[in-house]
Amino acid sequence: MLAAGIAGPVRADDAAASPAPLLFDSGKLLATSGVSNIEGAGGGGIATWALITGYGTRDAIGGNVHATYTGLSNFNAYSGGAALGLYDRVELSYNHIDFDTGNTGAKLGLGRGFAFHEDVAGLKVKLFGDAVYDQDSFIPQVAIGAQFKTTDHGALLRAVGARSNSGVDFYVAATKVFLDNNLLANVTVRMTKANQIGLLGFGGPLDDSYRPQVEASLAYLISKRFVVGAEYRTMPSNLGFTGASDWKDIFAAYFLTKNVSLTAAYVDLGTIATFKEQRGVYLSAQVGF
Amino acid sequence: MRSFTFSLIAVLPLVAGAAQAQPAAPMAISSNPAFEAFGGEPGIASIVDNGVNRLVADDRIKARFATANIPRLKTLLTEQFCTLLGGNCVYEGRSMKEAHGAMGLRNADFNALAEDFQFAMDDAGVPFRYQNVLLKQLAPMQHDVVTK
Repeated sequence: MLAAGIAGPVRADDAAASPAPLLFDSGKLLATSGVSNIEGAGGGGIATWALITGYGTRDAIGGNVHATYTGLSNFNAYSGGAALGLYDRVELSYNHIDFDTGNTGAKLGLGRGFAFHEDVAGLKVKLFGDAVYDQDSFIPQVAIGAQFKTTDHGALLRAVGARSNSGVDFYVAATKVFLDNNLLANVTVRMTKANQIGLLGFGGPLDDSYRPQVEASLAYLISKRFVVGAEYRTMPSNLGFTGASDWKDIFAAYFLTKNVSLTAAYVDLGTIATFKEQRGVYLSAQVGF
Repeated sequence: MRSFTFSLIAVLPLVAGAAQAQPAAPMAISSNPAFEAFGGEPGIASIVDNGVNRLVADDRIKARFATANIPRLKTLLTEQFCTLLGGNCVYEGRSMKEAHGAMGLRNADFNALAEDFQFAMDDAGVPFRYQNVLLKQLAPMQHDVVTK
């Protein structure tokens, strides 16, 4: 459509005039970078999406940093990290989570203010499809990825039944924007042993094998800069001393510009380390290009 | 009175989404809410005029239009958008592939144009969901337009 009307004379010689691409072009459309999720990957709040983070097109590099606070009934989590999107093909991410047990630590016998710290290094590769351009087909954008996770206090985690304090998640994600319905849908299947995304270690007495877990997101595009949605993420229940619940959230993300986005969510993470009904607020800010 | 009632019904769902001024109401009652939301063919022409003026002032892509026949570009884009929105128009330009194949356009160029037209549609008060009716038609043209 770009020059439907460029009349006659300019044709083949234009190719030579095509300028070199900018390395940092911020050329993707607003909001199509997604936001930084709880594990530091491009996605929603609790789900990882197939979108490659940042605003670099396939000719460029994008990147961002984020800070996130999650305040639950009995726990708080602070996380932050950085991510790069390379040529709208590969996403590299690093995220650090402080999971603060606060007063609850004393009740768990860990001591007041006891905290677990988890590092997540992520790799995501887009396989095919484009969530935005391919409006003429039902083929979604599909990516695969791996997240390398390590949590401290390994001896303690093993003492409560976890088989390891580190593990690798593998996932395949499919994301599609349905422009005429103003909807974005995502489904991710994750093979994981992680207890509460790894904050309580990996595997346990009930199960120490990879099981598929599902992340689903549905978002409504209110405007080009404002998105609201809901997410659901199933959790394995590997540990004997505590159950685990599926995670849920409703979120609103506001993209002030391609450089700044703010996300707020109400999260319901169910039972964590025997404490039931862990609900609260999730607030995240992302700055990037 | 009768036609006033009908146009009110046609406009109501648009107002529900965003409290923005509507473009001049077209005379005929159409069953095509997106076309109506753009203000019919005159509204589309006005949006195209604004959008192309933004393009040729946009540092990211204005060089692409240095040798373009701007009035003709506006005419053809108006015809094309009108057709894509289900209006009773005829697009007489070349195919997207013919028109752009040799230009060596990139995704950033394509998206810059989309952004300029989003602003033009915003200026005209076209509700976002009807903007997306047009964008849904334009988005797959990336396959033919972007060759780099």
